[in-house]
Amino acid sequence: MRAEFEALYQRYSREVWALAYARWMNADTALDIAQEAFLRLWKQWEAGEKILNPRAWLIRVARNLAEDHAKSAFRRNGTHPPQTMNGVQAHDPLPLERLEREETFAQLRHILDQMPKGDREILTFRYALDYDTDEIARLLSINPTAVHMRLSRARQRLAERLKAQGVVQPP
Amino acid sequence: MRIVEPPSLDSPWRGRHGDDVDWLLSDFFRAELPKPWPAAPVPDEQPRSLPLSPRKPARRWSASRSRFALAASVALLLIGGWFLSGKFADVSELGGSFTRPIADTDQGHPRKNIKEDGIRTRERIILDKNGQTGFQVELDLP
Repeated sequence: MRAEFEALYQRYSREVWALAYARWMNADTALDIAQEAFLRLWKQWEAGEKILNPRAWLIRVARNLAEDHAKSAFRRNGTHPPQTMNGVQAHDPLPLERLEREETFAQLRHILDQMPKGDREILTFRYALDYDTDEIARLLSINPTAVHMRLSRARQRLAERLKAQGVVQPP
Repeated sequence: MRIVEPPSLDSPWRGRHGDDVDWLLSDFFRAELPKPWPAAPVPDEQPRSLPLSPRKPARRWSASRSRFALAASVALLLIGGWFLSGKFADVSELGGSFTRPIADTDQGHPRKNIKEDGIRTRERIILDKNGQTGFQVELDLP
């Protein structure tokens, strides 16, 4: 059972992470949610529950956990979650190049944060996991054409915003 | 003389064309992926102590026990019913045979159809030598 579980983890944990990441734009929070989702799967197996489609089950649980996390984080902190800090984690001076990269990423994170959650999901699967349109469509149970449209629209919007901020130049 | 150029203030993506949004996004999202990827969150207390298969026989045993208890209850109910019906038959025989239930004679007044037939009944409770009580019905036929 353990081997089967670990195989599932190797296969789907990044997808679960990507979903939670798209919701929160925070890698650590997403990892916590992904681990919790898999822990719940393990407990279900331990209890003798038969789960016919573990991938769909994990995605559903991860979505619910991400939403629950939104409520609990708000209750606990009474403010915005940590991703509003733009991912700045270290106080020590960074090498200039790294600092610049962090700054660009902060701008990008800010833009992504303002995009619809569905678009962020598609972008995360596309660019973090290198999934193609069909794979994303299967995973999110939507039409490949819709994925393609949303992906190009999101890229277009991103390009415009990044151009406006001088991160990339128009052709 | 070696000239060392100062580090460029331009980002790696500055000056690139719009298509390089792809490159920037890939770089960003991949940097966000945790490295190294953590191991599966399997608790240390492995299913060595809680295997799935030994639980199922326990459930089967539990189910068969409850079925047995249900069957025993039904059997007891049937035997009890049969036993009690036998007892009531004995009581009816105490005062001889009668063809009409007690309820037919309301407070000692025979029902109308009996009067029309000319049959009179008298019921009384009797006490025999052994101290047992009985119910006696006497019929006066026309």
